[in-house]
This record gives sequence, C-alpha cells and structure tokens, in this order.
Amino acid sequence: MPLEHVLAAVMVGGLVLYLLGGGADFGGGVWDLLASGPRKGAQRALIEKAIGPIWEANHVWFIFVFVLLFSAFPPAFATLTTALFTPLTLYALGLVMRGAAFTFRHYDADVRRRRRFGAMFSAASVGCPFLLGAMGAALVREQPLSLAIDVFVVAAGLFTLALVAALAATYLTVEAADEALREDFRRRALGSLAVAGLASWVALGTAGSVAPHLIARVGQGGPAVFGTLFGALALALVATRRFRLARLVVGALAGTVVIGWALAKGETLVWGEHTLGSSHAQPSTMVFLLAATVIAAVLVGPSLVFLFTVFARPARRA
Amino acid sequence: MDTAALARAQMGLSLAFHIVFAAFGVGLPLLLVIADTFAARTGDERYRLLSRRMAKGTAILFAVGAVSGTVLSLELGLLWPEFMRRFGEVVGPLFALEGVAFFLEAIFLGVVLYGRDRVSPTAYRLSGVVVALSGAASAAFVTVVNAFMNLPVEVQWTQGRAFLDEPWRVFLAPSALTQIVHVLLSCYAVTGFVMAAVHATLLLRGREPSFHRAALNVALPVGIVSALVLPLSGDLSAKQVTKHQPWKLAAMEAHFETRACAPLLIGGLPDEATGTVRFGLEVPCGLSVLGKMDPNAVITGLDQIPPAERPPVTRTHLSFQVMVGAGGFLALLSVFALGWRWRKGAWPEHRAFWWSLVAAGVAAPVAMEAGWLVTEFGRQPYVVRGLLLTAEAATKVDGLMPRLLVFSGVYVFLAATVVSLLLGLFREPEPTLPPLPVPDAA
Ligand code: HDD
Ligand code: HEM
Ligand code: HEM
Repeated sequence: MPLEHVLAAVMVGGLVLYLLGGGADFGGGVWDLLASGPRKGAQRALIEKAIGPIWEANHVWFIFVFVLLFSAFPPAFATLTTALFTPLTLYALGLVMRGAAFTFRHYDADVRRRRRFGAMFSAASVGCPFLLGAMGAALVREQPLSLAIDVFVVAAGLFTLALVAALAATYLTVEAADEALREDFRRRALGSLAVAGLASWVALGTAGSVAPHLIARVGQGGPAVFGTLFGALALALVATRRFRLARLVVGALAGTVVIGWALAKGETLVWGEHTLGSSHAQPSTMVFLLAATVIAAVLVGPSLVFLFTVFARPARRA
Repeated sequence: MDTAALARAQMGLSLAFHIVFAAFGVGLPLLLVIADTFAARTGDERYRLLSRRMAKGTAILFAVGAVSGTVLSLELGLLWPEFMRRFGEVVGPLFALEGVAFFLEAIFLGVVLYGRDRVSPTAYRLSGVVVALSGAASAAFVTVVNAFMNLPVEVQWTQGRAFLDEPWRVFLAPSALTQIVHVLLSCYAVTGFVMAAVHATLLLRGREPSFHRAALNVALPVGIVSALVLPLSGDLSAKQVTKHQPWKLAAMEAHFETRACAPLLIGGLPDEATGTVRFGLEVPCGLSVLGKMDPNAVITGLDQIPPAERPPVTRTHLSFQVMVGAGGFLALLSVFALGWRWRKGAWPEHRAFWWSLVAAGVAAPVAMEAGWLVTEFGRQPYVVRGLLLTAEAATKVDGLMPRLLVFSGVYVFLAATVVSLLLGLFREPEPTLPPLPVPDAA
C-alpha cells in the first residue's frame, strides 16, 4: 500500500475514535440541553460524571487528525481551510466555548452562572457535531469545495447530530446506576436512533444529484448495507434492553459511517483539486509521521487503557 | 487595517493569550509534584490541602490552555494558508509530536485531577511526574517550530513546498536549544512567581497564614531558581542571536550603525527615520562584550541589513528592554530572598517582601510576553526568515475584522471567568490548621 494511503487510513482511524469519544461528549451536551422530567438534575449529573475525567483526551483526536492532514497533505490543507474558513472558525469557537464552559460550570459555586455555563456548553455541543457533519458532506460533494448550503449538507449535519446523541444515550444507559434514569436514556437512545435513520435516508436520497459517485460507491455497496443493519440492530437491542451489546453496535454504526464516508471520497481529498496521490508530502515526511504514530500508539494506548480502568472501578476511599 | 495586518493581530492576540495558560500547563504540574512530595515526606496536612486546591486551579487553567491551543492550530491554517502549504511538511511533524505529548499530559492529568482516591499514592505521584514531563516536552516541540521560523535549517524544495530528507533535522535549527531552555525556564518562573504572588496577597490580608507560608515554600524555590538561571540562559540566547540573527540583535539593541566596541543601550527611544536614539544610557563597548566576549568585536548594525529586511526597531527594542528590566528585578529579588533564607533559615516575613512578591507575580508574565514579542517582531518581515514573507503567507480571505473582534471578546470573557473562578477557590471556607512553626531568626 502506498504510504499516503496508510496515512489516510490512520487519519480515518483517528476520525472514528474522535466520533466515538469526542462525539459522545458532544452527545452528552445535547442531552444536557434536552434534560427534562422529574430526573432532570440526575440526568445532568450522570452526564457530567461520565465526561469528567476524560473530556480533554477525547478531543485530542481531532487535533491529531488535523495535524496529520497539514503535515501529510499540506496543499489540500491550505485549500480546505480557505474554502471552509467560516464553518471552521465557528467550529473553533464552539470547541472553545464548550470545553471552557464545561470546566467553568464544574468549578463555579454560583447557581445562576452555572446555568449560563451549562447553556453555553450544550449550545456548543449541538452546533459542533452539526458543523462537523455539514463539512463532511461538503467534502464529498462533487463540486468546487464551498460552504454552499443544500438539503444534502443540512441532512448530513442533522444525521451527525442525531448519531452523537444516540452514541451518548446508549453509553449512558450503561453508566446509569438506577433503573428510572436508565429508562430515560433508553427512550432518548431510541428517539435519536430513529432521527438518525431518517436523516441518513434524506442525505443518501439527495446525494445522487450532488455526489453521484458517493451513491455509486456507497449506495449499493457495503457501508450502506452495514449501516442500515447496525442501525436496525441497535434499535432492536436498545428496545429489548440489551444495553451493553447495544453500545457496541452503535459504536460499530458510527465507525461504519466514517469508513463509508472515506470510501466515498476515495482518492479525492478536495474535489477537482487535490487527490491523495497529488498532494501528499515527501516519503521522508510520511515515514516520520508514521513513526510518530507508532510511538504515539505505544505510549498513548496503554495510558488510555490505564485511565479507563482507573475510572471504571470505584474509589478506594471517598 | 489590511487583511495581513488583521491576521497578524489575531495571531498575536491568540498566542499572547495561549502562552499564559500554556506556561501554567508546564509549570503547575511541577509545583503539584513538589507539593505532593512535601506532603508525603512530612505528612503535613497543609501540603496535602495545597495540592488539592492547586489541582482545581490546574483543571481550570488547563482547560483554557487546551481550548486556546486548539484554536491556534486551526488559526495556523485559517490565517496562514501559504505558510502551511509551503512549510507544513517541515513543521507539521513537530505539532504531531506535541500532540502525542499533550495526549499523555491530558490522560495523566485526568488521573491527577479526578483519581486521587482511586490509585495508590505512588501511582498518583508518578502520574504527576508524567504530566510535568509531557507538558515540558510539548512546550519544547512547539518552541522548535518557532526556532525554525527564526532561522530555518537548510530545506529541499519540490513543487514550491519545503521538505527535509531527514525530518528530524528540524531540531537542528540553530536557536532551538537556547530557545527551549529559555522558554521552559520562563514557564517555571511565571508559574512560581504568580503562585507566590497569590499567596503573598493572602498573607498581606492576614488569611490562613500558616497555609500560605507553606504554599510559599513550594512556589518560591521554583521561581527563584528559574529567575536566577534565566539571565544566564538569556545571555546564551543573546549570543546566539548575535551570531546568527544580526538583524534581530540590531533591532533589539536599536543598534543602527555597524561598529567595533559597540555600546550596550539601556532604555532609550529609537527613532527609525533618523537612526538615532533619545534618552538612552550607553555602556561603552558593552554590546561587543556581551555579544562576542571581546570589547573590540564588530557588531553588525541595521545599516548592513537591506531596508526591506529590517525588523521594526522601536517595538523590538522596547519589548527587549521590558523583558530584561523585569528579569533583572526578578533576579535581584531572588538573590535577596535566597540570601535571607540562607542567613536566617526562613523566608523574609516583612510586608514589603510580600508586596515585592506581588510585583514579581506581575513582572514574570510581563517578561515572558515581552520576550515573545522580541522574537516575533525581530523576525519580521518574514514568517520563515529569508524564505517566506509574512505578507505573502497571510490569508486572502476578507472580513477578518468581525472575527478578530469576536475572538477578542471570547478571550476577554474567558480571562475574566478564569480569574473570578480562581478567586472563588480562595473564598472556600478556611480549614483549621495548626500554626506552622516559624524558625526564630537566629
Ligand atoms: C520570565 C520570563 C523571561 C525573563 C525573566 C527573561 N526572558 Fe528572555 N525570553 C523569554 C522570557 C524571559 C521568552 C520565553 O518569552 C523568550 C521568547 C522566545 C524565547 O525563546 O524565549 C525570550 C527571548 C529572549 C531572547 C531572544 C531569543 C531568540 O529570539 O532566539 C533573548 C536574546 C533573551 N530572551 C534574553 C534575555 C535576557 C538577557 C534576560 C535577562 C534578564 C531575559 N531574556 C530574561
Ligand atoms: C512556539 C511558539 C510560536 C509560534 C510557532 C508562533 C508562530 C507565529 C506565526 C506563524 C505568526 C504569523 C507570521 C508572522 O507574523 O511572522 C506569528 C506572529 C505573531 N506572533 Fe507568534 N508564535 C509563537 C509564539 C508567540 C507568542 C507566545 C506570542 C506572544 C506574545 C507571539 C506573538 C506574535 C505576534 C505579536 C505576532 C505578529 C507579529 C507581527 O505582526 O509583527 N507568538 N507567530
Ligand atoms: C512556546 C509556546 C507554547 C507553549 C509553551 C505551549 C504549551 C502548551 C501546553 C502546555 C498545552 C497544554 C494545555 C495546558 O497545559 O494548558 C498546550 C496546548 C496546545 N497548544 Fe500550545 N504552546 C505554545 C504555543 C503553541 C502554538 C504556537 C500552537 C499552535 C499554533 C500551539 C498549539 C496548541 C494546541 C493545539 C494545544 C491543545 C492540544 C490538544 O488539544 O491536543 N501551542 N500548549
């Protein structure tokens, strides 16, 4: 496999992990916004507890992919940041508000200000995944890269939003300690999965006119079939309260979406301008980046496992 | 303002903001490790309480450091697309390495902030050490980017893009080593003195005196050691600049005319049009001695630099004066405090000393910001010295003004919130602690 394909695969892997980790964090913010009913406070507390220790680590994946993009495909990166200037700026703003507000809320004693930070946190958590999906859609359109808004882009944004909400809700069904709370998130998981299904249907339906190859590559191929399958299976598992399995299947669904998107893009990085083959860095740089990735995997992998095991077990002393 | 000027303003603002939090991200983990070590050695409750309180502050500062850094990485692409297109291959891997270091930092910081009751004390302190080391490593990696921009190593070109056959050679950028040392020391100085200033303020108000004295025991050694070494490391930086970046030295020193036995200028307001300096104090042959250790050495002046390649003199010179002035103050204060401690076995207990610590808490970050301005202004008009002009590198996208205003507003909001939250930490109910024995002055 040519080096640029290996690097592209690594980046896709990074995106999958970003969606699973950072995406679920965004989803947590969505449910924070939509917290309702008698257990409103308990819902928010559960979300905060689940995000707490790992919130920052989850977002490093984004930086990781972004940095690989500009090191390994610099010309494509320059075109992309110029064409998507506005949504990327908004995304940056969203990440700032979200990360800062989450921490501020945690440490602020004043109830009114906490509420205001909470609103900032959840508004940004809704905006970011929407923008992410919309930018992803803009990147697969077969027209000069731009922010132009059409049904396809909006549907993709909504789909991503619903997907991260579903991810968070299913994770939270497992995390919830009491039955009633678990039921709250079960209903939310079902609802968001349904919305995601609907939105994906609209997105694929409108894709034919703006991205014919996407339909050709993905429409009849594996990703769409697997996506539908995982979606339906997830619904069934959540409905029948097999939460641990459901969590895995929703994760697999998210992975399928990213991989399907990558397959749809194929060689194209920026339509009409850059392909993997035409814009990659020199082999020496790519080898260096891959070496750095291996080092990262060796150091970061076990550390992450350590982090998750530390927080999976109860505190020794309170 | 034209687009390039706006891009520079936004980049400068973001970096000036980020660097403060980044400095704490590098320094606070070290202070935490020290506090925890003291706690473990002495079993003193004060150090344990200090470490708990610092952990909260670290969480807040770290969050803002991380989000502002994320914005920076986006801004590099958004504001300087041509820089990234041409040099992304060279500097990108450094950001990748920074990312790895930061990832480790974030993971183990999770353990430090939330896991105190979940892991063994040894695992806890080791996590702290990993956080401190990886924070320093990530600072070192980005500093190499800056060193490369100041004075690039030789690169190869293909299709108008720079690359290196051996990518690790970017670490050989001539000013990399001196800059890394100076930057890390400045991070420790800033953290040490700001923390000392906070506790000195509370001592001045007479709050929890025994607790705040313990805090000074942790913060002051770090600040003092760094402040004493900083002028030496700064001197090495200056020698490096004299040798390899004559344009920067000439701007720093407002040295217009090439000559032997060049004087060292202290203070003074340069006039770039006439090439003269008003109100300055000159030390005969001082610059030749400091720069090249020889009173008769010839020091290149701005007259040898083509006008189109000259950095802005006034800004660079004044920033340099501020850094050196503030650094001198910190060093003198450190000598005094250390001497006192050596003679009397304890830190001075005078209100005047506490007030000077408050001043030091302002001087240290001011020195750091000013030092960065020296490097950045002194590189102009290039982004990568000799290879890419700043004006060429800037984005061509219009309408940066509203964005600049929005981001400025966000930074103001973040800064204000951080300050108010940190102050809130000190309003927590005061625990009752036994008085710290103050060794008598014998
Ligand atoms: C607390 C902060 C602090 C203090 C007290 C000092 N500096 Fe500094 N200085 C910095 C913080 C700093 C920095 C971290 O802001 C810079 C910017 C870029 C760099 O490498 O370090 C810097 C840059 C910098 C440079 C430019 C390096 C380059 O562009 O390659 C020189 C020549 C000096 N310093 C010299 C000094 C001297 C002679 C000092 C004597 C008192 C001094 N600094 C104190
Ligand atoms: C490793 C650290 C840094 C890197 C890689 C870096 C990189 C850059 C880049 C790419 C630019 C735009 C191009 C240019 O104007 O030359 C820039 C400009 C600038 N940076 Fe830095 N920077 C760093 C640290 C800092 C810090 C900490 C400050 C804070 C004071 C700062 C202040 C500025 C300013 C004021 C400008 C605009 C310069 C001008 O218009 O004259 N930089 N920097
Ligand atoms: C010498 C100057 C710099 C130092 C010492 C420094 C240090 C740090 C530190 C310690 C952090 C971790 C956050 C924290 O501890 O608060 C951080 C985060 C970050 N910094 Fe900087 N930084 C510098 C300049 C830059 C520059 C010039 C850029 C990019 C243009 C940058 C990009 C980032 C990014 C992207 C993060 C977040 C990391 C992530 O989420 O993966 N930094 N920086």
